[in-house]
Amino acid sequence: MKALLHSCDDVTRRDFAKNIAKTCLGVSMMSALAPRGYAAFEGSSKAKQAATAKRVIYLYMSGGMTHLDTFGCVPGADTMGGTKTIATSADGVQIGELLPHTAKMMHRGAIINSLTSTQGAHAQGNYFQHTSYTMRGATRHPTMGAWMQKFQGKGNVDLPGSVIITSDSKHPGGGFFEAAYQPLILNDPARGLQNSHRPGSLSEGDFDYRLGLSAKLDQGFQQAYNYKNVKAYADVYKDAIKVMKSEDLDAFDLSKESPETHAEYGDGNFAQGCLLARRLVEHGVRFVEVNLGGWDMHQDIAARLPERCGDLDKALGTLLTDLERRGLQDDTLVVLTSEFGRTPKINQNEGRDHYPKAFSSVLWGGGIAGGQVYGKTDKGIEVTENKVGVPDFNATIAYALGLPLDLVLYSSTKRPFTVTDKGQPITSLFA
Amino acid sequence: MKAPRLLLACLLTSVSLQAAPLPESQKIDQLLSQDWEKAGLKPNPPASDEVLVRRLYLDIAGRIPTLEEAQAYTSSKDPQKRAKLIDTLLASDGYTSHMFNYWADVLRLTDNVKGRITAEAYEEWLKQQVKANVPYDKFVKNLLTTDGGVWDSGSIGFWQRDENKLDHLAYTVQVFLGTSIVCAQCHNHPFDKWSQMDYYHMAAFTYGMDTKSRGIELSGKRPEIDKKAVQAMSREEQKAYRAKMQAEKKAEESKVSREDMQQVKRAMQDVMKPLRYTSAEWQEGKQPSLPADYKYPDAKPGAKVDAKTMFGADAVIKPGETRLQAFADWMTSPENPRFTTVIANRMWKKAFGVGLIEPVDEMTDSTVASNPALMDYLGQLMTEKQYSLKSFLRVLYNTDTYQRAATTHEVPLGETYHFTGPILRRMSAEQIWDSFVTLSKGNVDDTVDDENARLHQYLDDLSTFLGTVKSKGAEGLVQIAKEGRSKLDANQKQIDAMKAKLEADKAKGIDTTAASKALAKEAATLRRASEKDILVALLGKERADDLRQGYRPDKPDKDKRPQIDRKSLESMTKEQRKEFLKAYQRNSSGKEGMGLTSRASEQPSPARPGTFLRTFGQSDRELIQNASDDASVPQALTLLNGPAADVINNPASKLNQAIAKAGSPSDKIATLYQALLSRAPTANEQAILNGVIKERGDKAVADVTHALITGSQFLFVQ
Repeated sequence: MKALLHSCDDVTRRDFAKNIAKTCLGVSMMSALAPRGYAAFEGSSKAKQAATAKRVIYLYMSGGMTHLDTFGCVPGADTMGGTKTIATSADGVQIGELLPHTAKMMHRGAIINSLTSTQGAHAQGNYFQHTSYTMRGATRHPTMGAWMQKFQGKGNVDLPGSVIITSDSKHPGGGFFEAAYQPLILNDPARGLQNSHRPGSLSEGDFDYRLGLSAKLDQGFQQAYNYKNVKAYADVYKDAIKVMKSEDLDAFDLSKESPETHAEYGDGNFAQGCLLARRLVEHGVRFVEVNLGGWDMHQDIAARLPERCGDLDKALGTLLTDLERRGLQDDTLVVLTSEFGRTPKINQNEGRDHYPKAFSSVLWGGGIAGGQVYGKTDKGIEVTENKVGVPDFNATIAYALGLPLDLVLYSSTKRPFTVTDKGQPITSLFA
Repeated sequence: MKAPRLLLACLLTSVSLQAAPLPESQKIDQLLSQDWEKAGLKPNPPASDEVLVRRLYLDIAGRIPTLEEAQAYTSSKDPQKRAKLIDTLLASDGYTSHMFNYWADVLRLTDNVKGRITAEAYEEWLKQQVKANVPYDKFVKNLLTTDGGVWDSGSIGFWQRDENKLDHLAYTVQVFLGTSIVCAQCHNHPFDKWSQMDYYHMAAFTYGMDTKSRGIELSGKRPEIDKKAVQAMSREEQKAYRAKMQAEKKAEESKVSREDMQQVKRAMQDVMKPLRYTSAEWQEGKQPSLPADYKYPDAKPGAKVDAKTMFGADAVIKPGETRLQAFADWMTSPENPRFTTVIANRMWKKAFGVGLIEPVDEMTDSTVASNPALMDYLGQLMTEKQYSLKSFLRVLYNTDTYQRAATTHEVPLGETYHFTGPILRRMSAEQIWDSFVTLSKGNVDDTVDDENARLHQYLDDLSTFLGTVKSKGAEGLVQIAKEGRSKLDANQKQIDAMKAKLEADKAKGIDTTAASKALAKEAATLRRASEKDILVALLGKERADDLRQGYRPDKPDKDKRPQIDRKSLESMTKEQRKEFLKAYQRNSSGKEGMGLTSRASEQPSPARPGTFLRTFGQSDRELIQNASDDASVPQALTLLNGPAADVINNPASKLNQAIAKAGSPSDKIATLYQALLSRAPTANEQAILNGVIKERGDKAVADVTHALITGSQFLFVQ
């Protein structure tokens, strides 16, 4: 790889990265455009397919979701800590008893029970899970939604490329990519896109008058200074007005949903986030992440699980059914993951601690062959079959989207990166 | 192209260039003019007083001037007024606030990741350093060589920032030596000469800083190991010695049962939590080892690496000095080939918008400044000024070149800029925020808080607590724990009973979701209660309560709302008063308002994502100088529809009060222009504005306000 880096000078490399952003029209186009030498990246996967998923709803269980009590159950094992399992709509697949709604949709999902991470702390694990790179040095790595926009463009030019619904203040977002690739972060899904409506006291006529006046008064300045950033401000106002007046602005407005739908999804940020995610993907946003915190159960896990699982199950079960009902399930990949699992042994405070060695995640729709379980553990302790690293898991998502896993982009610090580092997709999960 | 000429012509009226009063400033102007001559360039025309007063306030105090401040400057006939204003602003708390923001971005200050206490103490320390204008070399040396608890000095926040000391070294070198070596952490640098071995040699200087300890060891006393003696022993002797030490340790531990110890630890848990990340301890003996995948022939994986400087002279360890002190001396020495250049270039960029060397922190051996003679002189000036950044900046702001109009076109990437004047810059997020604060509240520079009394009280408590715990020792602690044992058992029984009932209900098919939640809560309370007893026995009730509560910083400026002018309130109708109070409430606080009550330096660092400061590009503090001045749609939405416009329309705001006082609509609009742009409308603009007044009547002022805020001009420093 070193030889490769030396074979071209900095400018060429930078220009190349820029060209990718500019010329990228689609995956097939990409591979035709990319010279082979650049595309090769030591260790990264060459696997590629026509996309089976057009969009992703990524549900992130922040804090470390216990695998043994949810999707990584080992019926009868002493590590189950009293959690019972229930049958699901998939033959022979059992999940935790606290997830009855989700159980009905397991014929569309594939459980991965053999995930393993190298990171045992929240911040580091969360970063690794989101970027496939460990948190270190002076680079911030982009997350999947930003890579997707970089390679394949936006689904709706009026709306953001990706949206993240979280109250967490730390998300790697678009990493080292330009501002245009940064996701829109919403803290409160019920409030939608902030400031996207003109103040109530202002009539549309008055608002438009002011816009015109502003442009007129700004003209002298705009013409006096020939700077990209000065022009950019004139442009973002145009874009902002476009969003404000776009019919798709409704995508952010949950009040457009019926009371029945609201009741079905349930209350709380996660439920509202799932509902918003569905609205957004319907309107062409191609990557939406919804965060559910509160999984860091070091104490009294048995008592805490019902509420947490209840919140997850109701919203998730509804989301999956809703997507199916609307014919979106086939090409929408729903991902459920977390930074790590929790210890098979119940600790002295009757909780479970961090456990990156073996944990579980689930994929639904988007070309995944449903009703299967991939990988095995020994009572949730050790992976005994088909170990899946965090980059491999992410490579599987990228593979579903048809992203080029071996295409190198350079950060501003001139270091080479691929979508999921050296991750190898689990191609056998696909139908 | 008519409009710009008109605009410029208007801006240039009644301008005369003041000769730079300082000989050092004159020297810089001379070096620049030689460069212009060579390049066949003319300097930019002089900037008007109106442009200059706004620029000086923004550049030095980090905000636009108030109406009165701008007025005072432009109307003054004093030929020394510029030099005087520069001195006034450099001495103001606005400078402290603004420079703090600069360093917070460079040093990646965060107060929401870990160790809130340390983070706040670090912030306070940094403000004090800036305010006292501690010489830069001393400031850096203080950062590098600090250790101890946060109750000793907030500067240990520097070491707490990155738990991984290999990463920390890369940041340190990048910030202070302007050199990017991070690639070499994992492999030889692909674009520079640094080898992975060079990296580890450098890291060996700082690797001994331990930031994981909690200033307290809660296990039985460990027998001291005599390392030297062990080295002298034969293998069998070593084995025997080790066995003996193990046995001694076990014996010590058996006096203290595991269970008791656990209980003490649990009792201390809440108190111990904030104690994490509160100290930094230097360990001279600690050396880094090469990683397991080290692949170069010069050494084996896992080999220990000695400290060695990456360039320049060796760092000589004087008797009685630590390796780290020698490193700090080496780094901050005027002889260091990059230390002085980096800070001189950084400060130059701060004043003129572009560095003589770009980027400022990626220097290599082949780096050449765009004006080498000037770069040399600036380095010399920095040492002459003994690293006083205020003195250095004072020279730059007093140059003739600084008071010229901003260059009207962008310097294309890769082209040399000849500094015919400063460049046009978008305000930083903090400058925008602070300018809105100024419009709302006037000059609030003196509210910059560099004395965090609440924090110090807590630190004192913590310090006392640590002393008590240490003096009691493990056995003393366990004794206390044992006394609390019966209470604990009783509480545990209660928890068990509740659980049994829950199981029974569940078996009967009763929905137990709510009951489970209640149980979790109750169990936590009962556990805490028994632990609390131990703490009380140890520290007395009051102190135990305080510590258990943890550090609760005051919510920023809850009570510092804008003053209400009672007289104008009295003169309102009942309806108006209701409207007024509603607007006042809305703008002062709460989810809807911006909370424009204090400067950006007094807000959480960094602000939460999605808030005003972050929307306008405040650094997330993850990377060095990660702030952005890019335009974005959420920024436009914020200014179009967000609370910013409300703040200005708020009857309680300074701006609104000034507008209310102005007579005719035309006067009101003139006041607006003065407040937002520190100038009168140009003839062209006035013609448009006259039309607006005629056409819109009562709505005109609100229209123009909104139009000016949403124009790009307000956001730029000309």
